[in-house]
Formats: sequence, C-alpha cells, structure tokens
Amino acid sequence: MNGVWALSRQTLVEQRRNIVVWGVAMGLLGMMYVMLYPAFKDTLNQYLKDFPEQYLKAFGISAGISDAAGFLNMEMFNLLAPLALPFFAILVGARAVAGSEERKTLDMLLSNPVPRWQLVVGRYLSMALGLAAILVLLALLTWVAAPIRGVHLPFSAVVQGAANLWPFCLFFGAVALLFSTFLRRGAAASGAAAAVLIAMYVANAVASISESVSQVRYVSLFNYYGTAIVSGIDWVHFLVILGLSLVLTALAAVAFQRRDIYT
Amino acid sequence: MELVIHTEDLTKYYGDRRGIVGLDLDVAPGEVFGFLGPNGSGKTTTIRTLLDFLRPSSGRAYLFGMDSRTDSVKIRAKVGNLPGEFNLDDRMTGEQLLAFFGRLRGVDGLGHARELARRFEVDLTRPMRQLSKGNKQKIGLVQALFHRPPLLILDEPTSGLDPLVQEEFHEILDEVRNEGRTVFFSSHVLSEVEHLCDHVGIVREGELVALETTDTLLAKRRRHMTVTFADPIDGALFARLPGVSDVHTDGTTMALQLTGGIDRVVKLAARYTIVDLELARPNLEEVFFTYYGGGPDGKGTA
Repeated sequence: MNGVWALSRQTLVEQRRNIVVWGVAMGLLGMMYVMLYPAFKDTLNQYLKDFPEQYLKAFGISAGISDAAGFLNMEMFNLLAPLALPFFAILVGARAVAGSEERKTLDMLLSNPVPRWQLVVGRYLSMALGLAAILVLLALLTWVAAPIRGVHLPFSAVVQGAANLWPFCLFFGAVALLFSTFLRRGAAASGAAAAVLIAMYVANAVASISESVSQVRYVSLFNYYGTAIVSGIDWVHFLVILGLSLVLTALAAVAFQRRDIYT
Repeated sequence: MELVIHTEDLTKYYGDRRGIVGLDLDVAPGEVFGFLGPNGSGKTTTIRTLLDFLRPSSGRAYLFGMDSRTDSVKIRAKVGNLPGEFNLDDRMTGEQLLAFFGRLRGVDGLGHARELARRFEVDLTRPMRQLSKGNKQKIGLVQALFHRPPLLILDEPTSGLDPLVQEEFHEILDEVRNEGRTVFFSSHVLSEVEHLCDHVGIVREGELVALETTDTLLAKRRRHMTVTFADPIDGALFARLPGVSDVHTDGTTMALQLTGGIDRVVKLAARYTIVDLELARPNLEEVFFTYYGGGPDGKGTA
C-alpha cells in the first residue's frame, strides 16, 4: 500500500494549485449567491410561482427558495456545482493512464516496482482527497458570507450540500479513469466522461418535463443526487454512488492490468 | 549460474505489425550486453516486453529466473530502467522526482543520486521545463542508477549526451561492471558497443540475427582499407589474400574490403612504399552487410 500513498501524494502535490483554484472559485461563487440572496428573494419567489411544478422539478428546485439554502440549492448545488466540479475529477482521472501515456511519462513511472492497480487506486484516492479539500473550501467560503450579509444559513446545511457533491463528482472521475484505460488520448478520455455527465443531466431534465420519457431519469445520476442542502443527505444514495465509483475504479484497474502500455 | 535475462521464442506483434519475432536471448550476470540494431528493428519492443509494459504474443521472458508477466513487480525492484523516449513532469525538479521514486522503491536518502548528478553535471534543483534534452537524459540516467540495481536496462542511453558526459557515463558503466552488476543496453552506434560490451546481440526487422562476443563480431566485420603507394600497384596481388574482396586500383591508390585481421594485407603492402593508409570504421549498416552478404538490404526500416 506504500505505493498507493506515494502515488496519490504525488498527484496531490502536482494538483495543489488546481485544488486551491477550484476551491476558491467555487467558494467565491457560493459566497456571491449568499450575498445576492436578499435582493433576489422576493422577486424570484414571485416569479417561480407562475411555473408549473414539473419545470421546477426539472431544475431540481421543487424544494422552492423559501430560504437561503433553497436559493443556493437552485443556483449552486443543483446546477453549477454538479455540472462544473466533476471536471476536476474528470481531468485527474483522464490523465491517470491515457494522459500519462500521451505525455510519455508512464514508462519511467512504471519502471518502479509498483503494481499497475496501485497507479489506478492511487489516482482515485488523490481525486477523493483533492475533491474533499475543494469542498471544504466551498463550504467554508459559502457559509462565512451568511453572517456578513445577515442571512440565515445553517452550517450543517452547507456541509451536507457540499458533502453530497463528493461521491457525485468521484463517480465521473472514476468514469474518466475507466475511459483513460481504454482510450489512447487523455482528451478523448475526459471528453467521453464529460459526455456522460452532460447526457445524464439532459436525460434527467427531459425526464422531468416530459411524462412519456420519464423512465430515462433512472439512468441519470442526477436523479439520485437529491437536494442535500435543503433536505439533508440521502445516505443510501450517497453510499451507492460512492460504491459505483469504486466499482468503476476496480474495472479500470482490471482493464489497465490486461493491456499493453502504449507509446 | 542463473541467467539475468533469458527469453524463449519471445514474439510481439502489434496487431499485424511486427514487433519482435522468436527472440532467444541470454544475458549472464555481470555482463555488459549490447543490443544493436537500426531504428525500428525491435530493440525498444524487446525492452518494453521484458519490463511487462508489453505482453508477448507468444514465448516467454525470464529475468533473474522470474517470469516477466507474473513477477513483474519483483523484477522491477531489481532493475534500473532508462526508457528510450520519456518526458518528465514540467514543474517537478530532479530532486522531487528522485525523492518520489525513492519512496516508491523504499530507498532512503538521495546520497548516491546527488553523487551521480554531480558527475553528470546536472542541476537537480531546477524544474524540468528549464532543462535541455541532454540534461533530461542525464536525469533519466540518474533515476535508473541511483538505487544501485543489479540490472540496468538502458534504451539508447547516450543519445543527446555530449562527448564528455558520454565519457563519464562509460566510466560509470565500468564501475557497475566491476561491482558485478549486469547491463543491457541498446544502441545503433557500433563504436559505443565495441568499447563497452562483452556480448552483442544484433536485431534486424524484429529478429535476432547474431549473438556474439564483441571480439567475434569485430573479427567478422568488414572494413574498408585504402592504401596509397608511391608507384602504381597491381591489385590482383592483394585480391588473392584470404578475407580480401572488392579490390579496386586507380593508379597508385588501392581500395579494398577486408574481413578478419589486417596483418597479411599490411605485411604485403609494406613490401612497397606506402604514402598513406586509411582504415575506415564500419558503421552498423556495414556490419549487417557482413551478416547478409547480399545487398544493402541490411539497412532495416527507419
């Protein structure tokens, strides 16, 4: 297991700037929405009243925006963050195998006595730790804005909202990790994983709007994502999504073990 | 005595494309083995198969008696490898890279690494993006050597190194040999292999065409000799000598091809007044020419 730690530590060191940039950027966005909330509160609720329930559901805002948490849920935790933050994990995952082969760094790395599965698992671990750090920054910066603006926003709500993003983003990182063992180009691996993310978002949105295709929501991870900042974490979904990401990582390790390393 | 490298009918195809075919290779402990062949002949494929980066289409490879497929991690613990083509993470310094590899290998301290870096005159504190191609190659050599592996596998180790550094590298290889460690290195430069190696394997279009001691190889090679005499010379006298072929005379100048020793030719020539004598080193193509007799087919694929 020493190899896994050494490898994930190395990836974290390489990614340290990215982690800070992602965390601060997402945190500032959260902060901005908290700051905007008082100004938007009344007009938005008035506006939303005229929308049919299904539309609100499609955008994950059937919970309404009766408070700051609801507003953050609508703008941030059910829209921006689940669409943007997976890209951190996707880029780390795509670089793991295909990206490293493309940059010709893999032969030298694997000249060390490290089993190939440790490279995959080490990547997953660094992805998980890096995401956790980003989410801590996101939660702290978002929450800290509330008392400044005089907005009521429980810390536990923000923590749950942020924590709920963790397995969700890891899932797409693991998808990219798996693609990076099948494809030869890092860009192809991240592109394929991004396509899965967008397709799942569209599937969920379409399923909520149109009754006739409502079944397709079950193939979308967004359907199981929930509204943790408003209604708390659904632990069953949380653990199942986390488990799926582990299964994908195990598949990536097996696929990588079986194939040639390209040059 | 257990062989350090032993392959049995080792074959690798990339789909339909030939990598290596039926390679039978033996490298004994303490040997410096030169793996010689033109670009695209299968040298890198062989090395990457030994290290389990590539899976053989058929046949097997054993290093230290262990199967290259099933015991790769144990094998790589005993091998220092310099890939033929590699990049290093731009922002990392040499020091950081070596510390990382040290952690992966369970090697404490970078004492030997610093010593090697000093001898190669490469700065370990600069990030990789600031290093020239030659300096990156030096970092590559340091990472292959710093953990004192029993086997060094080096793919074209001197490419990009200036002559002084090559000299230092040759000295280090001598030290490695004196410590009883084994070196397997590939090259397309014949003179380098002549200097350093005990045994030479020649690979051409994926097949091992010769496995010789360096002395045998040198004895077999064909050389060009050009002799200028003070007076016109009769080339037929020289054409009769064993090992001599393609004698051309042009007035006082005679050119010939020579395999084996030069003694007889020199003694015969010495009966006449010699103005000049040139003995050209054969290049790799000419060594192939020796092995294939026929045509300039021995060039291989570029």
